[in-house]
Amino acid sequence: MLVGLFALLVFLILGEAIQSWIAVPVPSSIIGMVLLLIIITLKNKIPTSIELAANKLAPLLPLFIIPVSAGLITQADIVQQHGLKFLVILTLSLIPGVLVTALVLKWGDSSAK
Amino acid sequence: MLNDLIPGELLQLPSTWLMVTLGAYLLGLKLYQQLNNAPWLPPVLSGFLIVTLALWLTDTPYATYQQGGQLLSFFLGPVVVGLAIPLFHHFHSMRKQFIRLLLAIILGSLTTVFVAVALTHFWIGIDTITVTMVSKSVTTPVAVAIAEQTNGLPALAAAFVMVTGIIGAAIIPLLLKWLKLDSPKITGMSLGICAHAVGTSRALELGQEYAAYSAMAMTLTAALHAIVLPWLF
Repeated sequence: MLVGLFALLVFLILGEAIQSWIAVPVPSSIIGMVLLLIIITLKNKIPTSIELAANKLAPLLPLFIIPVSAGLITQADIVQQHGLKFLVILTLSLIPGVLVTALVLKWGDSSAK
Repeated sequence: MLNDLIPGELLQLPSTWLMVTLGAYLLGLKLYQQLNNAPWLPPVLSGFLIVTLALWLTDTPYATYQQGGQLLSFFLGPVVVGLAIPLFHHFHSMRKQFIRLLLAIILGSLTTVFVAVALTHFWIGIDTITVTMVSKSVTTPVAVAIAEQTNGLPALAAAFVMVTGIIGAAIIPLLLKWLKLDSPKITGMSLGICAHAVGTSRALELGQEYAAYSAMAMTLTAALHAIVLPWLF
């Protein structure tokens, strides 16, 4: 577990380093993820320690998110002023996304049931 | 209010807020299980409400809270890196129909994002909010990372993601059923592309095959958006 966590942190910091070297706008954690994916793909095997750590962390995700979302308290004005518009926008924008997804999957694919 | 009863020093301690957050999460989890996994009240939502209420009642500034809270939000980084593992599994399982699935993910997810961004731009017209809307369709840890990267508002991004997930999980299966397009592939992919993790847990209720497509679509959408969208906004 700790070895895996250490490895995840190494990739995170590598992502951070690469981001500051070449100034790409991609989040450093995503760069770390891509690096890890490349290593795993080259080895064609997931190191047990990393899989263990990732599987332990993933279910705790809601706990890790709460502190960030509580920051909404500092944006209370925006929510009060535009909350209803947010709801409408978020709901409406789902529909074309779903339709396009369905069309691409359906179009010319007779096996799609 | 409450701060007359509680010694002021306690409200300054990072460990106090770490305790409150953990307690709120555990309570939210309990509530969720009591309600038979009600999709409209995931632990992250109830936990958020409890923490926000505590901050409001004690008049504690968010910056003070975050000294404890950041101990938890720090873990979002390693969690995102760990997404490489499901991604690797998904690449393997979708080899046969890779192009079509990838095309559906690219076109479907970018459509919903661009529609949302355009609506926000023309209807609300505040740049920081428009930029924050960009990450509305990806799982929260990635959305927060994107919002930080593009100078959006991470907390608002987390809220958009939560709302999108809850609405999407509720209406997407109904919409597809109504259009007679319901299938494990189409419904699963739509849930993962548009409603990320909340959609995927909805897909799990519909069946294993739904869930497999949804989890794959969700992970790929997150990776794709995090890599592509920060260049555009």
